[in-house]
Amino acid sequence: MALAEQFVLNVAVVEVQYRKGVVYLDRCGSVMLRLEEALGPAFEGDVPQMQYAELTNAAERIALRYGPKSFSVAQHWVRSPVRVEAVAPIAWDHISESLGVAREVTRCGVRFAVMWGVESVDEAERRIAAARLFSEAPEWVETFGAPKTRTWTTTSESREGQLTASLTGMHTEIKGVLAADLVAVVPPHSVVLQLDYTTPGEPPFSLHKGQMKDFIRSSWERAKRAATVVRARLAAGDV
Amino acid sequence: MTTAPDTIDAATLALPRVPVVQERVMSGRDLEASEGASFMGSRDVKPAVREAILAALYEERTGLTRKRRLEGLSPDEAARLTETEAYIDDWELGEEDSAASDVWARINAIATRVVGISASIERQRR
Repeated sequence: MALAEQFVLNVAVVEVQYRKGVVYLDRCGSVMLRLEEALGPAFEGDVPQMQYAELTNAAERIALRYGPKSFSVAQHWVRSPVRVEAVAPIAWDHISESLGVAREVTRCGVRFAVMWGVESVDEAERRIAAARLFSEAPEWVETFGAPKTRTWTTTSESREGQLTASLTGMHTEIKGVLAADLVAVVPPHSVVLQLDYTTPGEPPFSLHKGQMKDFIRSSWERAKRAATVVRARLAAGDV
Repeated sequence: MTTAPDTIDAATLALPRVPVVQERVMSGRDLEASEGASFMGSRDVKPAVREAILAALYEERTGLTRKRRLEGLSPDEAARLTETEAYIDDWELGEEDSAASDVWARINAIATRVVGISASIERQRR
């Protein structure tokens, strides 16, 4: 089987960490009501906990969490993070204002797990090895033996912030009945390129909804370019 | 440079409602177990919810198309518009599927009633 032409995002998640968010314990309920009002009936709030409160949108597979230390929006099994890009800034606007944390941000990151389906985990491993995006030194092989599987992770830093990238094979098992519209989307075996982008800046820093939206989009554009390069290498042996 | 933590808070990805096990091939053990939001029957959506999702998507698209007309879009915004339209297509397609299944449900209901009436007539004959 050839490497899948199209990728699917196992997850697209944006997360903001902040300090001085303990007022969450006082305002958690009112924030939830504001979020339900702002995001519409697709989002339903659950009973809040001390650590976090959560709204879920089962139809779009989105989970939104906020708490005294962090806020996140995660969406699973989509082709692009365009909905996260729309929802997260709206939610952050309400949360940051209600908790007074817009200027207390210590980290803002976005993660994309890009998956390409393959026939088997063995094929995933063969492709990762053959792509030679990285390779082990002879000393490694002499010391530990020839690798059967490989997972590569690197972290780099630039003006645009920090990026952690990893490449690995993945086996996904759904323990239940998969929704009809997802049968063609979720690959049981895949090669996964996971990209974690974080904003530059000395914490604490300010983060407003427009900045968040731009950050998600610019990171996604970088991710798509990276995915194109990596896929070409993974498919290099195909006729 | 930043001294903030390097990783996403583990709680962010621990969404235990969904029984999805993902094993990285590396070790053969569950390194990322139970990751994912609930997605069973994801197209079995209440009409009001579907309408709300589509309304939010249309609003996003309208904002971008208006900006394109008035001042033009940056490459990033143009990409966002394209992907928003693709996402809308997906949901509108789902709406058609949903409408089609409504039609089938009605046909089935009618067929069930017809069978019921036939059975009733048969019983009366006997």
